[in-house]
Amino acid sequence: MRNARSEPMRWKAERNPQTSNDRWLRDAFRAAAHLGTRDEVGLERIWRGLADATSHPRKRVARRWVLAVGGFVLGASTGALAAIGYYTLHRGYAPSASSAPSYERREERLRRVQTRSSTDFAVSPSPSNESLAVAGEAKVEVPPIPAGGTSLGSVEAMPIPGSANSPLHGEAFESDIPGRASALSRPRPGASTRLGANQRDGVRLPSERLSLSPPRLDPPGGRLVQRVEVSSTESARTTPGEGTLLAEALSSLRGAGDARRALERLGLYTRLYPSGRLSQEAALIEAEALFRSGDEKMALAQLDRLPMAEIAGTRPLMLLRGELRASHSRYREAVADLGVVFRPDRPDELSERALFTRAACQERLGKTGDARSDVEAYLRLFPLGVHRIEARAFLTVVDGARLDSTGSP
Amino acid sequence: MAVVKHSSGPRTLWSRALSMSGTKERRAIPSNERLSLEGLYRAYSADVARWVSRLAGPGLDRDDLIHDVFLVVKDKLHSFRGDAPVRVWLFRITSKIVANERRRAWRRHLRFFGLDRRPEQEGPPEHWPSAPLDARERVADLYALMTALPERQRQTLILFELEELDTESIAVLMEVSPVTVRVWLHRARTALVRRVVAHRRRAQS
Repeated sequence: MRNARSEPMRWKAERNPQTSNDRWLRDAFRAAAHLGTRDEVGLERIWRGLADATSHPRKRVARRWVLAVGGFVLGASTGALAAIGYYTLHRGYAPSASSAPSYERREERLRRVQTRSSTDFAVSPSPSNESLAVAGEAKVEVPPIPAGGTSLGSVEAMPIPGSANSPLHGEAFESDIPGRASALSRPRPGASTRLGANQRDGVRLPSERLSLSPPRLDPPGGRLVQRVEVSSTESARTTPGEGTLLAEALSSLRGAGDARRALERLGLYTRLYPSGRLSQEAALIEAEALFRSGDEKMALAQLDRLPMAEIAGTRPLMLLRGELRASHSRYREAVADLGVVFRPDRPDELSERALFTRAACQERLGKTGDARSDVEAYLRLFPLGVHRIEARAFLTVVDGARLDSTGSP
Repeated sequence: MAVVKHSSGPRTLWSRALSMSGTKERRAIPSNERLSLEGLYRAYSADVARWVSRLAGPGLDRDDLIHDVFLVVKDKLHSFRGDAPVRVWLFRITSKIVANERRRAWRRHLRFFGLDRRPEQEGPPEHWPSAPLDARERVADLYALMTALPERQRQTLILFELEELDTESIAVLMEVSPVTVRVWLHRARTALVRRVVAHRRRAQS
């Protein structure tokens, strides 16, 4: 029950306001009471707008999409920043710290690794498939051109790269795959020329020292040695894994220059994992270890067993095998290998070596015309190649012999 | 269409909600417990429009405010449990919508130093077809003076003076006790008289 006496008097109901202020308030509230409100027509118009807004909530959907896309972009950018921060902290490597290109930094790391190594062999750091590089050198010492000119009979004097009985004026046959092996030396002017020690069938075989870089195992090759250092400590306690064994072999082979130790680890790998997932890589490392230990014949046999077509980046390996086959008088097989390596559209170091060696093999096989065409192609593609002098001398000899045979002066 | 369950007593939700409105006889009461936006609009749009007009005053767009109130009703209808009468629920939504809009208007007023908007220029002419100029100015002054009051006291004063509700009805709408309403009303009246005196003194000087 409402107590009427407790209800205050309304200003607009005042009939006799006591003061002018009360009068002002009464008039004001009476005027405000006439403040119009919406009639039925106005309310119906509002309802139509409300029905349209509720039946087509495009703005709200768009707002949700904006929120979703914005959240996604924000999350992605935050994740990217976190990844960059993690990489920077845990690798100790800031992308903006060095302005050098990435391959130059890899080369720098490779150079440091190779400096620690006392061998002539290089680690192939390239992360690409071409990391199966022959990162070594093939030094061939060619005897000087004998005085008294040349004759066709000196066809056998056409040197296989590294052949020591070349009658042409020789220079050191050194290879240096650009950007790969810092241990390789550039051709030195005035290199010593002397006969090689081993000679087979009238062909002086080079005392080659070739290096083989097997394909990268798991990570890019430049980081392989660092991983070995970690895993080698754990291998004593547990059964070494495939990667661990291969990494130890590589570390022994390239880091310490101990080919015998590397062969031991590879033998253990073969016993533990006769059909391991990394058997091909193990075979490659074994071939390199055999080669480094001086057993070229076994190294060649190992390379002969490898299915080159199934291994990525076999172009340097094919070159090595071709040169080894050439040095073992297997000229036809060498020509086949070197023909795969040589690419006219890609005149690089490998193509240069392959083309000149193939010319020498063709000469050994008696295919003087093929040899001449190869030498001409060599001079055309590599006018500043390391064998340019030998190539020009060979052409002179061939042309002289032709003139002699036709009776011309 | 949201379904609101009501479990207390034999009275339906609609009957309980409309019991507060005082206009139960002239409104169609649904036979079931379903509350729809259209049904609420048909039943309460006049009340909401009147509350908006009283609470907002001449400075704000009432159509937009009514529209906003029922948009909120649509969004919150599924979560309305029926604990309070629908009329109370709608009044709370309306009062909050109007209060927010008044704050936004005040910020706009501050932003443009009051040069862009003047309350007496805001009201559409059709809302004041018969009001004389001095009455419009007086209403504008009245709302300007009430602006400085606390929001609850202002609402209480408007409901009491303009809506002509008694204190018990105001207490139900604002979900406070009648004594509290009387206290608020007394304080609002006292503060308003004080402000009117000061305003008239300034106008005379």
